[in-house]
Amino acid sequence: MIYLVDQRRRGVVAVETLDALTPSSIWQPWAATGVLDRPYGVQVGTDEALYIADGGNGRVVAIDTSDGATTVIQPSAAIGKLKGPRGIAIDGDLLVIADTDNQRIVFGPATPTSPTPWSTFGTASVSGSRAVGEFRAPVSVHIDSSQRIVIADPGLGRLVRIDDSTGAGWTEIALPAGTSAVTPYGVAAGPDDTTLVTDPDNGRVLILASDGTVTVAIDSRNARPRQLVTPIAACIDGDDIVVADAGAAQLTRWTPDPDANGGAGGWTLSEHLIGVPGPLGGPQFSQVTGLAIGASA
Amino acid sequence: MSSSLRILTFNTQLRSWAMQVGASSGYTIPPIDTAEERAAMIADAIVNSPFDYDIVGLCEVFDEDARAILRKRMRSKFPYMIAKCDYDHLRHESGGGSTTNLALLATWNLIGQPTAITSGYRLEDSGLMLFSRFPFATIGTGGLDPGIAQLCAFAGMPVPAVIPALNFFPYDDTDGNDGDACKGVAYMRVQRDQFSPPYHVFFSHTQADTDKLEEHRDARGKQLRVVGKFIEECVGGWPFTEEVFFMGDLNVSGEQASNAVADREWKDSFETLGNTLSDFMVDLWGRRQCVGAPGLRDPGYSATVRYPPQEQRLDYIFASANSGLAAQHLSIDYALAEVPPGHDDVSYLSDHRPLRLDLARPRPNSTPDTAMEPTFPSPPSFPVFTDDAQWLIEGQVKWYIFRTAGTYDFRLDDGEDRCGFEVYLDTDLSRPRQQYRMEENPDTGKKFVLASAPFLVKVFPFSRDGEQRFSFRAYRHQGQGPWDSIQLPYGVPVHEEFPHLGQRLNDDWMPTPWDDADSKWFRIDGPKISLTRKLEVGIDVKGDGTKFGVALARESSPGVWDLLDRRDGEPAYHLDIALERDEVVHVLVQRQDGLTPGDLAVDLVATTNVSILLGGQRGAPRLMCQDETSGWGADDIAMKITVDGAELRSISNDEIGDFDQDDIRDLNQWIPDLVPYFDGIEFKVIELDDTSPDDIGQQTLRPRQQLDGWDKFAVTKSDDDRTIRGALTIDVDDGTYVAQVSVTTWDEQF
Repeated sequence: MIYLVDQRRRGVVAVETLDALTPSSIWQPWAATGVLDRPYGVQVGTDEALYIADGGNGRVVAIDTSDGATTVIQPSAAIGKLKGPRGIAIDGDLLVIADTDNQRIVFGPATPTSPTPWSTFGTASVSGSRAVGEFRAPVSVHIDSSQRIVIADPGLGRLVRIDDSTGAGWTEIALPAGTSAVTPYGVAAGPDDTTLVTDPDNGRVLILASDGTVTVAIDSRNARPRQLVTPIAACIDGDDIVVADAGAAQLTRWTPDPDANGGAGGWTLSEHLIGVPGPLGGPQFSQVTGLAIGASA
Repeated sequence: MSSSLRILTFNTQLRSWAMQVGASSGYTIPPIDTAEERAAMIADAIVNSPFDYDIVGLCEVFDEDARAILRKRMRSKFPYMIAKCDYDHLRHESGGGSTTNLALLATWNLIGQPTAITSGYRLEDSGLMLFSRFPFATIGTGGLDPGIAQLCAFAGMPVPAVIPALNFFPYDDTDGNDGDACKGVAYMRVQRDQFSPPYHVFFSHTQADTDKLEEHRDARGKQLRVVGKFIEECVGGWPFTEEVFFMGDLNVSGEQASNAVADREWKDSFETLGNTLSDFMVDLWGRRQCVGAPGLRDPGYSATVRYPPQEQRLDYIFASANSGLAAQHLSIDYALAEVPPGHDDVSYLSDHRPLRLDLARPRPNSTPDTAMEPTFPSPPSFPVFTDDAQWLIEGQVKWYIFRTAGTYDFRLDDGEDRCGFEVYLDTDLSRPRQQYRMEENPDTGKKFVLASAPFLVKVFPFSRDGEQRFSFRAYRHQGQGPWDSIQLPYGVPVHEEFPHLGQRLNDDWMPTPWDDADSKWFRIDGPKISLTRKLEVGIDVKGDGTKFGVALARESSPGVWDLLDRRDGEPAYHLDIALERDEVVHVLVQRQDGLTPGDLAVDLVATTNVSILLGGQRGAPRLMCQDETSGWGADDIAMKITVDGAELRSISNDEIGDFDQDDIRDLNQWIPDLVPYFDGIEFKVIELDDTSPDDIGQQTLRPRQQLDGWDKFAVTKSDDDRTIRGALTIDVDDGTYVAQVSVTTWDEQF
C-alpha cells in the first residue's frame, strides 16, 4: 500500500495501485484528537500504524490502521513542544522527528513502552551558518540499515548523516551537481540498504550508498514533457521507486531499466497517477507532502 | 435584436497549489495559495460588473477548486461555458448546470483540425475557460467517421447526434515550464438568437517569456501560425462572413502601428502580410484604437513582468478585419482588477489586468480613432461647440477628440437622464479624468482641466437597449475673467494666444480696483489636502508679440479683489507665492497695446516644490519580487512607506503576504489616490527572519523632477502632463524588489 499525505484533504490517502479506477481510502485522526493541520511526512510503524508529522499542530499523530485509533505523540516537557515538524522516521523502538521550525532533531520512543529516552540534537543556523550540528530547515529524516540517521536540510542545501542521537559521526554528504543548486528534501529507504534522496529543484532522485557515495537514480530534467516537477518524497516498492511530486500533484512509478541513463542503467517512468478520480472513484489528492510504503491493508 | 456586444479577457493567475510549488525556486511548501479566494472575487466582480459582459475568457485557471468556484458563481449569468480544455477533451456546460466531456477526436473531425498533432498528455490542462451568455451554436454529428465515433465512445466520451460547436487544439511547440501545461487555442461558436449570425470566439494563452523579451519568440510564432490555421478551419475559410474574435494573453509585447519596430515580434506577427492575424484579423488596440503618435498614444499595458520593459501589453482582442461591428472602446477594467473590501489577507487578484471591449453597430464617430473633432468659432465669437440631436442606438457611443489642452466645460444639453460622458487623455483611455473640484457653470457645464492633448470625450447611453438622444456642448475657457479663468496645472506649460486682428479680449472689469482691460485670467489653486508646509509656487510668463504686463490677484472676500503684485515693461516675468490649503490666486496677463492691439502669445508655467505619488486605482502601484532572496522558502515580507519622514503606512506580512519570485501585490489599497511629498517617499521592504536579523531594503523615491535619468527608476511611461511611471528598484539582501509607481506634479483632485 502506498500512503500519500495530502494537505488539502488533511489526511493520508491509501493508494493500492497507480490508476484512477481503483478505489482508495483516507486515514484521518479520530475527531477527538482534532484534524491534521499542514501534515508532511508519514511513516509506517512495525505495527502498521501510520505516524504523521502534523506540522501545523506541532505534534506527531499515530493512527492504528486496524481500527483508526489515534495517539498523539509529544516530547517530554523537558524537550519542549515541537514546532512545525515535517519529517519522521521509525526503527524498532526509536522515533526520530525532524523538528523543522525548531531547527533540531528530536529522538524519542516509538511506542509508549519503548525504552528510548527523549533527547534532541542540533542548534539553529544563524544567517546561514553551516557549523557541525547546525540546521536551518531539517525537513526529512531516515534511519538507515546501519542505524545511522540521515537528515535532509534544504534550508542549508545539505545532507548529513550522524551515528546516533548525540550527533557523533557527523558527516556532510557530497551531492552530485545539478542544473540548479542541489537542495535535498526527502529521504527514505532505498534498494539494497541504500537511502533515496529527492532533489526537487533538479527533478532528480539520488541514491546514497552506505559508504557515503551518491549516484543519480532518476534524472528527469531533459524529458519533454516533464516527468517530474518537484519530487519531494520517494520510496522503494519492490524493485520500483515511487515518487511523490508536489509540483505536479502526481505519484509516479519508476521501474528498473538497464538501458536507462544512456545504457548506464537506472529507472524509467512506467506509471503515473494524478489525483483526479475516474468515474469509479480513484484516489483524490492535490497537495502532496509525504509518502510511505506499507504492507497491503 | 441588439448588436451590442461586450467582451472580457483576463489572465487570472489561478495556479494550483502544485503549480505554485513547482513555480517557486526554493520550492515553498506549502506555497502561497490564494487561488480559491481570488476565484470567488473574480467571479463576483465579473457577474456584478456594471459593464455587463456577454463573453468572457479567463486564462490560467489551473486550480481545480478555483475552476469549480468560477463555474458555480458565473453560471447564473453565463450558462454556457467551456470549463476545461485538455489534451484529448474539452469540458462544457450548455445551460444545464452540469458538465459534459467532448472528445477532441470528434471536434477536430467535425469542426476543424489545423495540422496533424503529436502532443499528448501534459501535467496540467490548458488553463482556459470561456463563458457566454448566448447559447452555443450546434452541429450534427451524422457525418462523423464511425471509427472515430467508436474510439470516442471507448474513451468514455460517446458522441451524441448533436454537439455544441466547440473545439480546442493543443500546441505542439512549447518551451520551458510552459511545456507542463497543455497550452492551445479554444473555440466556441455562440449565437445570440435564431435571427443573428453566430459569433466565432477563439481564445488562447500562448508561450510566455521567462527572463527576457522575446526569449521564446520562435515557439510562440509557431503557436500563432497554428492559431491562424485553426481559425481558418473552424470558421470555414477566408474572407470571414461572420464576426470572428481572437483574444487572450498572447505574451507578445504589444506595440503600436505608428511606431512599431521592424523585425520585432509584434510587427512580424500582427502587422506583416502573410499571417491570418495580420491579413484577416486586426489587433484592435495596436492597429485601430491606439496606434501611437500622431494617433492615440495609450500603450495599453496589461501586465507586469520581471524583465524589462516591466510593464507590457500582453493581452489582446482581435476582430475580423471586415467586422461589421464597431470596436467602440477597448480599455483596462481597473475596477474589476481590484480586491474588494473585506479581504485583508489577499492583496491582489492577478499579475495581469482585465482587458475589455465594447462593440456595437457602427455609427459615425463611434470609435476613439474616428472621433469627431469639434471646431470652436474664432474670437470674438463665444467659443462653444454644440452637437445637437444625436442618436445612440442599442449601446452605441459617440467620441469627440480635442487637440488643444486647456480648461473646458462639458454638458449634455439634452439626454443627461439617459446618457453620460467621460473624459480621457489619449495617454490613458481606461481611467477617465475627474470633473475639476466639482465645479460647474450652469450655462456651459462641468469643468475639466486637461493638462495634455489630444483628449477625448465619450458620450454613452446608460442602457444598452433602445434609442437615446442627446445634445453635447463643449466650451473652452478663454480667460476673459475669473469665471472663465484658465487653470495652470503645476509643472505643465500652458500656451495661450490673445485674439488676433486687433481684437481686444475684454474691457476693464469693474470689480477690480485696477485697470485689467485686455487681460487673460489664469488661476492657481492651493491644495485641497493638507500639506506639512506651504506650497511654494513659482510662475514664469514669457510672451511672443506685443508688450504685456502681469498681475497677481486674490479675491479676499466675495467681490473684493486685492492686487498682490503687478509688473510690466519686461519681456518675461517670474512671480512667487506661497499657498495654503484651498487658497486661490489669479495671474493676469495684460496685453498693453491700446485699443487695436497687435498679436500676443504667452507661455506660462507654474512650478512647485511638491510631487505627487499616485495611489489607488489612478496610480495602480504594485510591488513585485523581481529576484527572491536566497534561502529557505518564500520571502516573508512586510513593508513600511514613509512620506517626508512621516509614516504613511506600515503593511504587515499578514496583509501583504509572502513573496516568491515573480509575485506581485497591488499596493493601491494602502496608498491613497494622492500622496503629496516634498523631499522623498521611502519604501522599506523588510524580509522577516525567525533566526537572524531581518533583511531590510529601502529606497527613497525622489521628487518628480529628479526621476528622469535616475538609474534606480526604470521609466515605463512618461506623459505630457508630467505624469511618469516607472519601477523603483529596492535591493533586499541578495534579492531585488521593484515598486511600480506613478508620480506627477499636478492632479485635478490635488
